[in-house]
Amino acid sequence: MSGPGPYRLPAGGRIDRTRPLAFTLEGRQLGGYAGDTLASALLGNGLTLAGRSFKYHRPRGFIAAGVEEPNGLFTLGSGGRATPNVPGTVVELFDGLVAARQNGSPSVDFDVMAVNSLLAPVLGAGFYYKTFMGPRRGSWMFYEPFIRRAAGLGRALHIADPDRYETRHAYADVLVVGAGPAGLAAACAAGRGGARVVLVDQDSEAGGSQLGEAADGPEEAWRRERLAELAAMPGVELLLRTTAFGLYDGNTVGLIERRDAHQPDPARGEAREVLITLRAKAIVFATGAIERPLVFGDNDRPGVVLAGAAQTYLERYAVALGRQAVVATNNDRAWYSALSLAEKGVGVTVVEQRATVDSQLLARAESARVAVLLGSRPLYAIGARQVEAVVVEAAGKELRLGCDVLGSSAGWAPVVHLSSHTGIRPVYRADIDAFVPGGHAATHCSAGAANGSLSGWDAVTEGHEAGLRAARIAGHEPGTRTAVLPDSPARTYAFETARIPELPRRGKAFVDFQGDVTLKDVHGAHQEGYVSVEHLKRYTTLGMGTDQGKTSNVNAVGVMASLRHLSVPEAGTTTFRPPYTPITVGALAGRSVGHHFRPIRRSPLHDWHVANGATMIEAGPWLRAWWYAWAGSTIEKAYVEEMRHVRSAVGIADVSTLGKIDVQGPDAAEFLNRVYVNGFAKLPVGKARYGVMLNDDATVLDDGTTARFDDTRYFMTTTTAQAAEVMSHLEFLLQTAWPELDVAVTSLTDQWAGMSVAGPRSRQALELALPGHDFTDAALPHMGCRQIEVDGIPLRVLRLSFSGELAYELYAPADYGIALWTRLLGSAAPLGIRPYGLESLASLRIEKGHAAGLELDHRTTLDDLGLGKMASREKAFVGRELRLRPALQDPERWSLVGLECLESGKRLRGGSILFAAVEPQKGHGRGYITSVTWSVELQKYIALGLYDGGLKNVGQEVVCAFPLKGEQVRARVVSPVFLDAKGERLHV
Amino acid sequence: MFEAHSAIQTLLARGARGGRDGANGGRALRIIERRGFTLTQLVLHRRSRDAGLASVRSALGCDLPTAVDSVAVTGDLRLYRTGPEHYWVVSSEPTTPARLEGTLPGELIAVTPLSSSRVCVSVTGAKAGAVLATGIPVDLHPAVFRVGQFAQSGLHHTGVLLERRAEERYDLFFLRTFAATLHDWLTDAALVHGYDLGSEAY
Amino acid sequence: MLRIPCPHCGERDFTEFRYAGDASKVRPAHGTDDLQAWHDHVYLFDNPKGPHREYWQHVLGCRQWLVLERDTATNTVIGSRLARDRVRA
Repeated sequence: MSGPGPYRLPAGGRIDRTRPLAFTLEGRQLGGYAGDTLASALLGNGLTLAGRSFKYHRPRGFIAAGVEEPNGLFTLGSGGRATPNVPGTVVELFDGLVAARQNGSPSVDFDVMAVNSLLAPVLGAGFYYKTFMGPRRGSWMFYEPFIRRAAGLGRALHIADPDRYETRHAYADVLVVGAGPAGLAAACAAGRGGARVVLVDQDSEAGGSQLGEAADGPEEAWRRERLAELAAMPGVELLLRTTAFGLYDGNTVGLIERRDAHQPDPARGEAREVLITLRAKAIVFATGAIERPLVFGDNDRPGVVLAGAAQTYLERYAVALGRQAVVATNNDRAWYSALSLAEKGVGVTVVEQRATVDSQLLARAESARVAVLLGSRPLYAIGARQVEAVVVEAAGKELRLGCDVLGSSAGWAPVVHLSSHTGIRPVYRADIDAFVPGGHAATHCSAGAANGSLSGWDAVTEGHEAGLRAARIAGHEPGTRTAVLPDSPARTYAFETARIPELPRRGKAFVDFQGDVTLKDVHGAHQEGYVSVEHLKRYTTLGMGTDQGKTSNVNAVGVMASLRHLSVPEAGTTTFRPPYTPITVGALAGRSVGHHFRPIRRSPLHDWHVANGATMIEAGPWLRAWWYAWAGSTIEKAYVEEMRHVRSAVGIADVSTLGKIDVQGPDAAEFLNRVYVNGFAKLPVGKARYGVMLNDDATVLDDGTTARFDDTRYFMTTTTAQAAEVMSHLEFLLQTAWPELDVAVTSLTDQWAGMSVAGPRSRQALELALPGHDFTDAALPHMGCRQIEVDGIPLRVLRLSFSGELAYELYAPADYGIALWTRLLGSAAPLGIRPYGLESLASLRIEKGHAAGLELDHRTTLDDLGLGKMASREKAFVGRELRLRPALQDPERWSLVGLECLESGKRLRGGSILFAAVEPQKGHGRGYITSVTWSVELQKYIALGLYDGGLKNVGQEVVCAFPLKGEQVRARVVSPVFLDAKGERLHV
Repeated sequence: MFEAHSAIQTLLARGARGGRDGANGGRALRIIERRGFTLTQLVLHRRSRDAGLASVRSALGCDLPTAVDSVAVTGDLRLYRTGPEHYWVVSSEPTTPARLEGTLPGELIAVTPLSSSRVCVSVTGAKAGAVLATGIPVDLHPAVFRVGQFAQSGLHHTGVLLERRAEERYDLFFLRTFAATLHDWLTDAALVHGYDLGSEAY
Repeated sequence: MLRIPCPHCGERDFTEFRYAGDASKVRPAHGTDDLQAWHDHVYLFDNPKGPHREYWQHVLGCRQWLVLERDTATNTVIGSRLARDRVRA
């Protein structure tokens, strides 16, 4: 190729020409090599147009070779794998890669939205607050959809991602972030003493800045030696393609390892990304520095790049960005870039802001035939899709320099993000016009360019010292060897702060490329009063893109400081927060997706339910049998049939999910007496008692029963929903409030399977299934309990009822749960025994006015639920004092009532708001419905609810309003005990 | 006679060909349910701790462990100190829980049989530690978590007791009601390596 | 990613614990018949910037309750002890 713009050199670089790769760009087949990035491969093919800018849709090219790239964002892959907004400069090329540029309509090459450039005057910073506000109030909502469609760069997907994302917990003595010269030196130093070292680098190869230097020579030799040294240390782990995205408390660092280039197959369990949570004893930040561009007119033209990037493309990827280069700068480092270009045959002119420069550099420039202009700076670039020339000011005169690549450098900024994440703000160093870490925790340090050490081999010596120190912090002794330096001359970094850019005579001077924020926007923000850096950022969107202002923040702060006549440190900098570079939500989710999102608990009887016609439902963390096919074909029919069967014959329900707690010890009785509102100190052996527990603030925590099986052994049950809460509550009281009580509490929820046998024929069912044991009323009275042994297995039997029918709860060790259940079903078959599920279990109790989860909502009190009489007057209990607060004793509080539906053909709904029938329906109403069921015996819908003044209103008519469905149903307030008020069914 | 039913026996029966091949075609791991162990928890009452320790010594024929992270093995008994006064006694002898309940005095020691409350799954293979490190947040480096050590930690939002039985074997005690979901999680984590499934005596 | 030193198990990730608030108050003795004392205990607490003592329970580990001393401004963990061993005023 002999035209202007980038081209591949026939030899050199670190690419592997023996491994050519094929990829597609918007369907077009192109070629590259192993070792290329997508960016270098595109440039190697002569393609400079990398995308269209955010607002103005200006043609843009790559300006960088690394993560700081703001322009060249691509959508990679297709289907559910498509990933938008990926900088082409970090994409490791692989065979078959699919890529597309973004933000061009219909295409980046021919983009009609470029017309936005003409609208530039009305698209300045803050335009949505100013331009689209009229002509009427609410006009913004007319413009908003158009702007929304035009906004953004890549497109998000609405289809499932088939890839796998893995997680890993990791520990290390020393974490070294960055495998450049400082990091390699640190890892070697730390590893020598036997420390567990993890060295991470976001790149696909270790070397950092050295990868942009000549691929042969003494520096390369040094790099390979260090890598060999590390490979020989078994305690050292090198993680490439791994970004340290965040530093967190507890010396924990978040890392993401990318495996895209290996083309992982999720069907075989291969993950695309791995989120590693690494806890280190000591951390060395060797994160390097990022170059910033100069700001001048039309500095965003394709071909205007960072000087260091021009060098990297050449040395690492063997891609020359042009044949005629101008390098505009204020520092020595760019001179080395210029010399590297000249050595490979590119014609170079250096435009240097400083009046004088190191004589050795001048001499080298001369022998390399590099033209030099001192005391000069660029004013504006010329060109549309490709830079053609730059107009510079030199010695007071304007000069036009033809070029097809323009590398600029305003200096290098240490990458301080990670070390600042926990809140230590970076501080400004005037000598390099950049921010450096403002301090470190005792177990952290920075080394090399990250620390502001930009010249000589300071990076290596600092890295070495940091590694030694880190190893010692971690408790290892790494010895006192001195650092091995590369056998090549150190590079200087003489520097002069770049002159504050003036508004350009021609074209737009861009400060933030990705946000399309110009110098004029920064001036505008200042004029309008948005002068703090936080306001400047949010008003102009500078630094808010996916690159988070890596090439723009420092330039912007410099401009704002000068406008405000402040020093840069006085103007300040914004806060650094994780992630350092964008991370995928997939990596954060890991494998916790789909049915792995959260754990599901199964009852010991689960397999039987599934095999015998149960429809299962998720109830909290549990999977429970909701209803059974024998009872009907739909939930509505089945639960009613199951209820009818329990009240007329006998049913058996799985209650294994109830919380079960073993309470043992000399002080067990006293303990129970303190936590329940009613008396437990004198509970006899062989008896169970219903109890209610309050929180300290007197809201009801839970209800349940506690049975006493022998002198010091109690068996407590709790509701399913509150089991974990009650367990922690009991442990809290024993360990923090009453450590003098000798009581051991242990969860038995998993140990015992529980089943409720309920109905008029329940006693006979037990007698048939467990012959030889006495279940008569005298032997096992209501609320009695007994432990028996059947076939060598201990069983616990409690005569309790939730449904209001004669009923028993049986517990077997979970391993034998199904055995007991099937025996009961088999032996009692002649009685017509049938299983009943969660829906009917929860509905039967409504007919008896038993409060359950829907009533125990952590706001209701004992008195609200009509249980005030349970509160003992003889003893103290948790919540006793605050229960008597005037507000909680107010008779007008909403308290428990029953409701019966007055309109046949209509139904009541849980959550309905209650209004007195005689009043207009305004405001928040006088209460609400908590639980609803169809009553088989009463042949109508009934409900429990909380109502203003409670049972004082028995007999009154109310309206149950359900606004979400526009329903209103009349009902009457009645007692919550709908059946068998005297409890005769229990005492047979 | 009552028959025992394991929490994961249906899952194991359903497993295709007793396991799955990994990404490289082989099966690097064995994930085996260990059945038939007994588990009894002992909690010494604090007031009478020394008397309790003496009582256990005479009943078991050995001392309770003092270390909080290593398993004490005496004959058929494996003893874990799971809390300040809390201990697990694991044994393959089926009469152990009844024997302990019968011989240890309730005024000194709270004895709680818990054999059904846990499911034991062992993970064996060179990649066993790596697979567990994808979900358990303790340091499983072989030099840190040595053979004979155990830890109570979390896996998939639930508590598990993890024990390093041998160089390449880790035993996990799951809560029974979580066992199926955790087994599912484990086999998914092991997918890339390939695994064999099965059920064996403890 | 707070690392919490459990007095029984050693240092662990905070994900193994549940947090339960201020531990610097003294709970009124059981049976204290003083509404104001209970009200103040349940509803009033300081929110200091700096060292703070708070309750955590090692729910996925040994299930012990501990009192953790933590600097609320820097999230530095200063120390911990079993709640039941705490010296009571």
